[in-house]
Amino acid sequence: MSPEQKQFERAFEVIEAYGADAAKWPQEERSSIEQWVAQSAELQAHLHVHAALDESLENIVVQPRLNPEIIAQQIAAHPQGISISQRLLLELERLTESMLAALWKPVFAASFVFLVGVGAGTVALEPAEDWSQAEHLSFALIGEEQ
Amino acid sequence: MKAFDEAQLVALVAQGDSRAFAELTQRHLPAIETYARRILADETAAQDIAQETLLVLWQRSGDFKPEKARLTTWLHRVAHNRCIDLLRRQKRETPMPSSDLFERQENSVQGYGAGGAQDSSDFFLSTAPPTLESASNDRAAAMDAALRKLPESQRTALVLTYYQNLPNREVASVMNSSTRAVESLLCRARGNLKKQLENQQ
Repeated sequence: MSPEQKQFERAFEVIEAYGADAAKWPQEERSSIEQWVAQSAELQAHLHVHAALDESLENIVVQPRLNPEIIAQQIAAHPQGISISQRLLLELERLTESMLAALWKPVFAASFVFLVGVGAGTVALEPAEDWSQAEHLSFALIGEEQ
Repeated sequence: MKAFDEAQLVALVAQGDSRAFAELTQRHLPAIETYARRILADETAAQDIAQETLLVLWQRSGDFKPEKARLTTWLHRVAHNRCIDLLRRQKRETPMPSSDLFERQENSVQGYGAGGAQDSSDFFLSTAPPTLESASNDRAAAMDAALRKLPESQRTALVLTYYQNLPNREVASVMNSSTRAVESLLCRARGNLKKQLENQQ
């Protein structure tokens, strides 16, 4: 794919994801996409389709109902900071999360190595059925030492 | 207070300055409340979450690091986590009626794709009473219904980008995801909305 085709496809993707309003496009790509749209009838048609969807989305208006002044007064009546037990719980939660995130890979690797080792040992080392030679050798060694 | 930037106001809040807190509440509460309402479609729950979010700012303002994120992103993340927790709790506590199961299968066949099949939180949203003021006209009502049927992750990406006007990096930060993943969610969300609206016509 040529660089021009890549840029065209990227412009297409951006419109598909963010809609027709250039203000919502990623800032670093905005001007290049605007240039592409200006040159391409296909992108303009794509933009037109998404402008209609944007318009439908704009029809849904949600008005906030809470009064910020009253809410701020109510909340500011609470003591600041959190209790030691809450802080401990929070820290414990964070620690557990980070440990779980950091530990699963080494634990998985260690388990994998262990299982491979056990498997290889089971396959490669067959137990000697005739122990007489080993016994003979060990007696000989003990005898030498004595 | 209006002359102070947000990092300064948060630092004042950490010292117990209620006027700085009132200023930040004035700036951010409306956006957080509308965000929670768009995600939950439950006015009371959304207002509770908005207030809890501001309470977190009052009690744990020291946790906010201005060099890492804007305050609005941090607050959206706090609210987002609470919304997700609530949706998951509701999902665990409410058994899904068989008729809705059937409806969900229909939806997935009609083009929801993998995301639709994974997420069942849309069940709660599709049955929730409409709370949007503009739902009186047919077109807005149809779009409202279509939005509420989107899987939670797609709806979140769309609401944060489209209605909350957060840039893609901040949306990714709120959703604990990557910008590529957010773009993919947005594409799927808009595609699903288009299909649903076409089906309704």
